[in-house]
Amino acid sequence: MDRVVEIYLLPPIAVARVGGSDNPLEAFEWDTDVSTHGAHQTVIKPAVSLEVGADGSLRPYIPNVIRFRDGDQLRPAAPFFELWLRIQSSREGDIREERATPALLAQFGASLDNLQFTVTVANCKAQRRTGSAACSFIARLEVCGADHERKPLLATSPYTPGLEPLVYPDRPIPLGAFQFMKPAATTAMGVNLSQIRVRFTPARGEVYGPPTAIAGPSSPGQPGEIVAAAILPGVVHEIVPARNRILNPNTPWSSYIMNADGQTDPQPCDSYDGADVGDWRSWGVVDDTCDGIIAAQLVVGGARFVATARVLSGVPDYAPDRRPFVSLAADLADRELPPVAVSRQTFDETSAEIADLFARVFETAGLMNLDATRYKAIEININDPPPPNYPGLPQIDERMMTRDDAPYVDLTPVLLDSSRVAQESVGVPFQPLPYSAVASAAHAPLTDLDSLRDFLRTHKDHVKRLIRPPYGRFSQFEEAPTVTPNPLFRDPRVSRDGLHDMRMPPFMRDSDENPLSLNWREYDMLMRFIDFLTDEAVVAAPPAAEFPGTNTDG
Amino acid sequence: MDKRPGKIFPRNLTARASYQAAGNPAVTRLEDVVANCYPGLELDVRNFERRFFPGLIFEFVARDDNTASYTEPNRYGAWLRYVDYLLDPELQSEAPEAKRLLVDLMVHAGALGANGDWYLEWVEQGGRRLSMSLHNPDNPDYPLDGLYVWRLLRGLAPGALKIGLKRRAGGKEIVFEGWRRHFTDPVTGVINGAYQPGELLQSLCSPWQHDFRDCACMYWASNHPDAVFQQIEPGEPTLPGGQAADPLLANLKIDWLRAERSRDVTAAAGNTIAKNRPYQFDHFQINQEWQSLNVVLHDREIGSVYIPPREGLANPFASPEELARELREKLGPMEMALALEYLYARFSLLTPEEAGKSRWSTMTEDVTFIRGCLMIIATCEMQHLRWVNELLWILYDAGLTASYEPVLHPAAKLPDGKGGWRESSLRRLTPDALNDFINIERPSGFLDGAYSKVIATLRSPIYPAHAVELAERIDSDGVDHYSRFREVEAALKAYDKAEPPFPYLRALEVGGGEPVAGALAIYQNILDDLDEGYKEYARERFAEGAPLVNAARSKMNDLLKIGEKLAASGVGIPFWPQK
Repeated sequence: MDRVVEIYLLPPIAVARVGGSDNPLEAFEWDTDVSTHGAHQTVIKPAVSLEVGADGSLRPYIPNVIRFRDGDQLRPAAPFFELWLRIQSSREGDIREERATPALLAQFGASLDNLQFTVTVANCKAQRRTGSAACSFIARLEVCGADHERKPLLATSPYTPGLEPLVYPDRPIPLGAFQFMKPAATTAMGVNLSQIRVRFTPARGEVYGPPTAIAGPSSPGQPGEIVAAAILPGVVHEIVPARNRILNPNTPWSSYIMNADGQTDPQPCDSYDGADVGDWRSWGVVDDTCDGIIAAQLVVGGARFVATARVLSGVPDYAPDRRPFVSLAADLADRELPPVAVSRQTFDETSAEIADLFARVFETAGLMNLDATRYKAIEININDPPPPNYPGLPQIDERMMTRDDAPYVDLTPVLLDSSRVAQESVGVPFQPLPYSAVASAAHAPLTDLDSLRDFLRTHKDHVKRLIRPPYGRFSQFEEAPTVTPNPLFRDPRVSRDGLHDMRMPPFMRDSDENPLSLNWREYDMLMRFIDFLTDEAVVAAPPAAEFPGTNTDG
Repeated sequence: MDKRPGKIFPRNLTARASYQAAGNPAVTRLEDVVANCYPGLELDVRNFERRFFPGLIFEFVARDDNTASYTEPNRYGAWLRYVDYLLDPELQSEAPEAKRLLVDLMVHAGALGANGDWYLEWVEQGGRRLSMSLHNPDNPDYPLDGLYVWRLLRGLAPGALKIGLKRRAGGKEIVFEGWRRHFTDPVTGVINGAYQPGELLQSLCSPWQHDFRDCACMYWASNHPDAVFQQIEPGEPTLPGGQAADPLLANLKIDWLRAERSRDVTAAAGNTIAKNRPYQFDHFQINQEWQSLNVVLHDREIGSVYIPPREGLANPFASPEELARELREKLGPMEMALALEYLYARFSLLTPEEAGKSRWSTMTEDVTFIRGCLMIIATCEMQHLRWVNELLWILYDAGLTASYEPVLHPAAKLPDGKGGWRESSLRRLTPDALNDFINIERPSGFLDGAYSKVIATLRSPIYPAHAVELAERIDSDGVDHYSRFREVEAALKAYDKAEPPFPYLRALEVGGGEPVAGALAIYQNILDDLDEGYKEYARERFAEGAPLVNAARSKMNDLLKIGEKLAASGVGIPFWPQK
């Protein structure tokens, strides 16, 4: 008899996104607009969606339109997770993967009664700042296989005597809902409806606070600017609606002040309501986002199998047809996977990946206010005394991305036709954001693969110089770093590597407040691809820093 | 652009992450999550490194920001928050190294818990040991700021390593041999079970709306736009491709975070944060108003619903040779003629410096806009000329046509937008000239219609799959150019009653003879380089063709400079012989 060897959930990680509507967002995928005037840009295309019936059953359909809001409420993104089995064949021992269905479970003498889901999600933002576990709030749910009712995830704070709980047991914060869908023994629109599925629905995106979080003066300053405590300018706004002022006012979260001696604040520390204005005291506000674990337990023949998946419940994506060029997917790959194989055998695949990278760059550039971020980047670099620059590196002051930033600057002075060197761009009526316009114009042709390859071939040295190197792999760092930056990778202990300049991507911040770059893996792929385009022999050499003991053949 | 469904690239994804579950919109995928964070949007990736070493949890204690002073230098670094050997799943393994590490942690747990000032002192991997307390670039006497430490740890590879912990008060080190954990399981793809619920988001803003309003970093444009185009109201006329027919509406970028959403009081986005801030949602206000922010598609705000566009189809050409003839004899030469007409028109405009001397207070800004606009459009047309040539050599390389010769001559006649033809003409940017530009770029005009046929033709499977993409891009650009020219028209209305007329124009006439010889020589060199370069490309000799094309581009910059100098003295480059 075949044997179950593993169960697992797909996707292993999914993102839910809050929204106030009762109706979740329908399914869509990223596609390429191949219409006559579509310019081959990324668009969203309606995909098979699953309508949930009152009894938890599913009806697949393809929507004609995608509705993003109902009235004034945004639709949340509520991901499904599917249960799968890995089964060892009793005949030859090979492993196959199958969708978990009641019929398949029955083959192993099991049923939905042998299945249980546990969901644990939490919001620990206040705990992180105060150090008190009683300021977190956690929701936990157990659902058995025959229960297809949608269940709320109601979170309260753990506490012990002597600690004040932030969220009272009798006034929990909803962090969303969970539902075990009701299987039906049929397939429709290519969807096997008998597969065991669950759904996590995020919360509505509300804020909660203590009774005192009524209204407060909002800082009129720019992001990060601190308004003097002696004055309280700015408009007074309601902080938390009355119905949500249900939290305990006697926790450390209501007296938290950033930057106090001895605290280990997250950075940036002014990341809470109440920061940067008045005495910086927290208003005690929390939200209903969370992250957590969905676990499935299946008992088959006395053996317990466990599968888990992660859900991250966060903010809406307001530009769903635009994709970041530095994504969590790529970040995890950079941490976990060996370098990309760039060779004649992988040329087409690598070309497509590079083309997609540049497409994502274009998608981001189209929504950026590059003029404003450039202005800010110059401001960030300003110090007293001014930081030193090094020969051959781009400018770090108001000369960034102007004629005086040669040889890094290329198109901008020509297209802007400007000899002006100043922190502020020359925004004029009809063209208030000249740098932003140039960025889009410069990147648009690079979304075409052939044009991109040609560009990389003909501008090899320029591109290699222009792309900001990533921070190095650990194995690349010297025990004692030099002061002079290394052109191939950055080092956080080298001051110049933390300054903004026009190298690509320009004027964007990374996780440590330093200038953003491609991650190491994507940068390495791009550089070797460029070398491959111009000299295949060069690429035969393995990359400089590999994960030890890993296979680099991709 | 790659056409694979969902734009999913499995080679660059961790285990099982490529799977697309039925019913899930693309925004639930990890490719849609911004990874750079300060602190982040959907999660803070720095939280992974808090548990980089099994059994130990660190906090990265750092200054306010990387330009702030070191107020508590002895506290900065990777501080050991607590020991967690009981719940770390990697320490429950039967592997010898896990058992050894578990014992080590148990032995030292008391010492580590007794004092609260244990810090990561060094890390060693692959024979390389890096100190976490030396080589602070800001002050050599200080240990490294916590975020510097985080960045060094971020570069670790999964696998064996050693770490040394030490108290800031001094004393002996404790050394552990272990490994950098995998953050996702190599088989299941799930985030490591050591991370407790709530850990990955814990350092994000509370509430998240605070970050939406107050992040100084402006790096999430793909998810939280900076500047967008305005929503088109139902019933308002649009161009093919969906842009507003009103050029101001089509081209004006506005601040996405503005508090007043009515179009009546919506102005252009400012070029600094400070200029936009007074008109944006405030703190606390955003807690309630975040759902008022518009969803943005194709860089334009929409209402509640996205309706996928439907397409009308043109009739294709009957054969590859007919298609090639159209490209070779009509479209290619037209693109070249237009590029040169636009360039010449640009030369005819005063520079901002010249305009500053006029009596018109708005002229400096207007010519800045129009010159920039024309330069971008002319550059675009040159790209189109390249793409038409590329289409021709693609057809040749695919064996669909008998030969390829570069198309590098301008058309003698251009469509007049009224069903007829006009002479190609090197003219100043007078209203008549501008009107001709508008007419030729008009959607559903000749060019648009011609490219629609090209696109319809290239969709046939007999043609190489990527060829149609080039034609689509050319056609789409045409709609943008039309809209832009209409904006130029709007800008120049300010001068339509000026006496003498056209105060924004130089006195420019097409030159000849010695004064323009140098410019014409450069121009001819450009054509020669492109001719040779494109021929090499057609033979798939890219390494040989690239330097030639590059040289042509470089010489184009020289031509622009010399053209500008000539124009300043009233002489226009005669790109083609004048009648």
